[in-house]
Amino acid sequence: MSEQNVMEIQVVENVKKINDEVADLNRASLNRHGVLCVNLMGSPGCGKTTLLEDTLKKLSGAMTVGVLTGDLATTRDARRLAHYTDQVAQINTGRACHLEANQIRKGFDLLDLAALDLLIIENVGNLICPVSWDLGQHARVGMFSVTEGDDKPAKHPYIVLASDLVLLNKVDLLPYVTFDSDRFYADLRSIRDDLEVIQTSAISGEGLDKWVSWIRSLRDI
Amino acid sequence: MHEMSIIQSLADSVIEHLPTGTRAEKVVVEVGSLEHLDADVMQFAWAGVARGPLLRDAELVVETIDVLVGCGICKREYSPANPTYLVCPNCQHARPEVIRGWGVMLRTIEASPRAGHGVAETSEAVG
Repeated sequence: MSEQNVMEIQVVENVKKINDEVADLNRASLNRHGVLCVNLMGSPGCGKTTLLEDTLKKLSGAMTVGVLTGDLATTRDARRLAHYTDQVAQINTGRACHLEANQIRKGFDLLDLAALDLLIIENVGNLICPVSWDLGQHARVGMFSVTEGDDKPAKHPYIVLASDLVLLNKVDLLPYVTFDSDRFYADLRSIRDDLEVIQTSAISGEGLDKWVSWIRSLRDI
Repeated sequence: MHEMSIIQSLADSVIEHLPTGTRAEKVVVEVGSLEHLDADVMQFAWAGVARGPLLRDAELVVETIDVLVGCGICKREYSPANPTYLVCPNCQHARPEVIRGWGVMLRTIEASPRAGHGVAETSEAVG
């Protein structure tokens, strides 16, 4: 093949454009129905579903809340949450480690968006991949728990960078686990010194009112 | 971690942009270093995905784009060496607003005529 036969084509195309375009469509649908959407991201076992059970209880009567919950294989989370809202759907990702915008789009069909004030997306338990995929949410919440160790903000700086709020969960266990709060906050503050952190516990109830107020403050914007 | 799906999308985009009668010789993609994508794993995925007549033998070039942030306080732009330390070297606040560093961008494709197709075909292009 001679060199002069080679042509260079300038493209400049976002390889994730399909996801990002669907995410924009999702955001437009949510806006049209006046639904606030929060994307909750955290490790497996950090307490996302339990937090959502408490959140649904607290918001009962004040806001109509829907949940799309992502999981590789089971419907356990959706069944747990169905005790508190009929607007809940499980998205099984098979082997995939995160939710993508088209799965949320399909999830909308399983809910009555027009009836909702708030949609919470419980992402697949993972601190890494969910950060890279826009789902069309209005806010992202990164969740850590004290049992995971104090080094998680340093090890997972991208979720800190991308979140609008961080929850530090299971703080009732602080007396029993090796967790250096100063180190956790110092690492987090070296990435984002203005990032709000709410400490929560499903056992003691600490921080749950603050968390719910945070959601409601978003709704007012 | 999701290199395979990114590479699949990339391959689809390349095929979409290839002029009729050509095949890809080289594909240049830019990857923001905030993305969780490893260049070696991308190459491995490319070798698995680029097997059809349009992409086979095409070289994949992965260019990493360094992070550039703007300080939300003093507006100084800086490229942090380490994603775990984003404190502004000028005012010592950590209020990074990412200017560059997210995203995966297909930049250029080098294409050449395919054997048996009409575009600029010469005897030396065959085979």
